[in-house]
Parts: sequence; C-alpha cells; structure tokens
Amino acid sequence: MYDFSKRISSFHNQHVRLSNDQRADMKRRRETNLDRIEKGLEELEKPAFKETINQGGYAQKTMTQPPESDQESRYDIDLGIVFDQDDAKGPRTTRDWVRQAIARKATNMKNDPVTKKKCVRVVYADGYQCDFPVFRRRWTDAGWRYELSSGDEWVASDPAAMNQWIERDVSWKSPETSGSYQLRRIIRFGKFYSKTHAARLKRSFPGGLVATALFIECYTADDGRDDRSFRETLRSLSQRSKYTPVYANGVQVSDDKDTDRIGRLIDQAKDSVKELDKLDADDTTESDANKIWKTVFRHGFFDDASKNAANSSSAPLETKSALAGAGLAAPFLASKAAAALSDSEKQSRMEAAVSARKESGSGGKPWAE
Amino acid sequence: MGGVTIPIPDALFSEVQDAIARHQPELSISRTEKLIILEGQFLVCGPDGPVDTLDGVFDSYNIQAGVTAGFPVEEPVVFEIGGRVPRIADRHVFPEDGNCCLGVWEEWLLTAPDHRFETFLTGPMHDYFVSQTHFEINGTWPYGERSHGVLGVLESYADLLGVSPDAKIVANYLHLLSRQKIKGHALCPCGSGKRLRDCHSDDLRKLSQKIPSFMAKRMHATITPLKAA
Repeated sequence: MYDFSKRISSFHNQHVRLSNDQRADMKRRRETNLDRIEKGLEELEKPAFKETINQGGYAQKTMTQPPESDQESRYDIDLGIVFDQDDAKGPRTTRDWVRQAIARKATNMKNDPVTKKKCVRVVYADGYQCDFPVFRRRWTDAGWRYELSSGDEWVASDPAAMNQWIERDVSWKSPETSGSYQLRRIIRFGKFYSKTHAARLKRSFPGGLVATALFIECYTADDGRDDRSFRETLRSLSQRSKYTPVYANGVQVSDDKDTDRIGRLIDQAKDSVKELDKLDADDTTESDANKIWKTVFRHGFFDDASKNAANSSSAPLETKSALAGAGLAAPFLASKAAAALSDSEKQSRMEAAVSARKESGSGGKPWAE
Repeated sequence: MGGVTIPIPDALFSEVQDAIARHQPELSISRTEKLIILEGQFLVCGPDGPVDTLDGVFDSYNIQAGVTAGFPVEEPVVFEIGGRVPRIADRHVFPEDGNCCLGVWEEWLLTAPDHRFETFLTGPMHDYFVSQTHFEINGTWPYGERSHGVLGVLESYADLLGVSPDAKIVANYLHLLSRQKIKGHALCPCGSGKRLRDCHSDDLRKLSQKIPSFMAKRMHATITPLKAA
C-alpha cells in the first residue's frame, strides 16, 4: 500500500483531533455548567453534589473536530453528577433537581433542559449539547459504589469503568514498539469518518460510545502505519454484520435503532476499502493517494498538492511510530523531548499550563516548614 | 510515620498504577509491604496531561515518591532527586529531610473535588513542579505560596475558614467546629465577646458543613502545639 502515513498523521493533527483551543473551550463549558448546577442546587436548597465524573469522548480523549461539510455541528459534553446516597431522593426526583438547577441558572438555551431516561439534557443556542447523567454513591468495604438514576430506578453502574476500559484497550491493543496510542487515533479517525458520511448522506450513523466500541472491536494494529491500520480496520468493519450487537466492556451498548446506522457505516466502509485497495498498485502516485483518501474523509486537506511536502515534515510528538519508522528504535521519551525545547517554547507551554490551571480556579500553593 | 503501619491494599496499588499509566508514563511503580514507591521522570505539562498529547510536556523532574496505605488521610512523600531544586525552605523543600512541601495537606483534603490518587497526582503534585519551573524561569510562584512554618499553616486554615490568619481566632474556630454540636450560647470564635447566636452563627453553620468535626479536630491539633511554641 502506498505509504501515506505521514500525511494522514498531519491530517489527524490538523483536522481530526481537537485543537488545544477547542479543548480549552470544552473545559470552560464544563466548568460553567458545573458552576450553574452548584449554584442552582444551592438556591433550590437541595443537597450539593459530591463529585463529578467526566464521561464520553472528552474523558476518553477521543473527541473529534466537525466534518468539513458540517462545520456548524458541535461536540457534546457528558458529565456525571454524583450525590451522596444519604442526600439523594428517588431517582426521578434527584434527576429533576439537576434539571431545575440548570433551568434556573442557564441562559442562551435553545430549549428548556429536559429530563431523559438516563440523564438531563440541555441544548444551548450555539449548538452545544450537554448531557448530565445523575448518580448516587455510597461507601462500602469495597470502596465507593455508584448507581445511575435511570427512569424510576437506581441501577448499579460504574461510571469510571468505561473510561478505564477504553484506556486499557488503547494501551493493550496498540503496537508496543510504535507508540501505544495508535488505537486512540484510529478511534478518532473512525468517529470523524462516521460523522463525515452522516453529514454527507444526511442520515444517522453510529456515534459516541457505539462508534468507539465498533472501532475498538475492528481495530487492526499496524506498527507505524496509521493509513494501513485504518484501511484494515475498515475492512474488518465491512465484514461484520449489522445485526451483531456492539459491546463495550462486556456491556451491550447498541440497541435496535443502531442496526441501520451500523449498516450504513458498514456499507460505507465497503466502498472505502475498495477505493483504498487501489493504493496497492505499484505505480500509485502521491496525487492518486490524495484523490483516494479524499473519498474516504471528504476533506479539502487532500486537494492541496503543495502540502504533499508535509508527508515528510516533522512528526508530531505523539507518534512514536514516526521515530520508529525513521529507524530510531529507542523508546520515545517525552522528558527528553521536553529537555530539548527552546527556552521560549518551554516558557510559552508553561504559561499556557499555568493559565489553564488558574482558569479552573485551582493551583496548589507550596509551603515549607 | 510512627505507630502501626498497615500493609498496602491491592485496590490502592491498582488505583496508583492506573493513575501513573494515565498521566506519568515515565515513572516506574513498585511496592514493598508498607509503601508504594514511584521513581523516574515526573512529566510537567499542560492541562490535558502527557499521555497521548505529549505536545504539552515542557519539563520533567527526577523524583522518588512514597505512598502509604493511609492515603488519602496520610500525605504521600515526594523527593526531587535530580539535584535541581535547592534544599531550602525558600524553594519549598523541607531542609532537614529533603522532601518537597507540596502544600498544606488539610487544605487539599477539604478543597479537592475527590480524594483519588489521580487527583493528587494531577493536582498538588503536578502544581508543585509547574511552580518550580515557573520559579526557575521567572522567579515567582504562579499560584502563590504559603509562608514558612506555622504562619503558612495558619494562612491556609484561615483561608479555609474565611478569617484573618490570627492564631487565636483560627484556634477558636477550629475548637468550636471540633464539637459534634455547636450551640448558640457558645462564645463567638471571632473574639467579639458576643454569643454565637448573636454574631457569626450563619458563618459557623456553613463552615460546619464544609469542615467535618474530625477534620477540625485534626487541624486544631496541628496548630495547638505550634501555637504553644
């Protein structure tokens, strides 16, 4: 297969993965929502929540940018709100506290917040959707136990387990010699791919956890070659049945409504694999590769031939694979890279870290005896 | 750490392992019966953490740290062993033992969103090394600093209580908060000489929700011998 890995890696860094600014924006929105719930609960004279748990793509670091054809679409925020069991009332009532708290404090909402079966949902006028699942927790001999407010029941749940499962799979399944994190990039490519074709066809495709679990299930590792890994992942997806349920951490996460969505993704994968297989021809040129990858990701990035030089440009820090590909077998060490930074780069990264920390209202004060 | 030492529970060990795998890939982790030991390069980075987004890493420190079974009640001990941070109080290192002074522990216990090891690792421990780099470059502490010794503890407690860092007033507040039940006819800890019910009773009620009595007792015990000295 024509080696397009570096260009695909640039595409990932520029158009698939969230930029630092977007991540900071997510963080800000998260804090604002939390603040609203906290103040709203206080005004309603309801018990304060004790903990929050990041969920979804934000927690799993698999959030992606919107597809090129749908720049207006926004990412969602999932944030678990946890009450102590002694403070919580019935599942419906407790969920409603959160709804009321948001309704009280939030402005610029598209609609009033609504209580769904498993969360409270608020959609802001600028398109951001925030879901707040509500939990209660109690201390047991085996540590904190969590229950999710689901309909009229409290259902045993381990909100951190899904994040841990993804974290574990990412480090276990990714090739050891070429950066442990290929799977996370493939998940991002996969989610981006699903969103792109959903926007193009104006039909629903799998999203969120179902998409993540599908790409984990079908992931095919390929040391140092994200382009080949993604093609083979799509191939394995294209050979799967849409009727097979999707599991995440042993729990079925797909339901009937997902069957057709998964079917569309499978069909799309079949088409893309057919195109990508053309890259096995010996006489493939850079320009052929750009054209074919454009059919996969439908992005103008693959139009600009002058950027082809980027296929040999500096590798991002995260791609250990790029180093391995260059014949550097030594494991990549972030500390070594940090030591090699220029003073000004070090200072600017540090200032960014400090201001982000201050924005979140924290930052520990050292002391000495 | 005197007294009886409890062995490390497996759950704590795996919690520490997970946090290290997630945030500090260049630290190694091992355990003795009574201590979890972390060794290696501690990465200092931006808000997204070093794993997967290494482009935020801007510095690293050679460290050794120990976590006891008593975590989070007991504070982990951290040493910078690369010889980069001078062993002086002005750099927030205990001159005698050489361990880092990350902050006033009770302040973290009372203000942290939760007490998982991960929250400690990415919170006060990480803040400490960001601060050290900031000090090296700019000569200032980005998040502020506490005074040395007793005064630093008092400042921290006073901040938590929302009062001035006066040893007597802080001790009065903590003494009252140590009680299971706070009665209105007690003397107000602010020193006005009035009854609590006629003075700061609302403040005390709010504080008692924030600072449980066992924690107030612990804080009171910390400053009382210091106050006597």
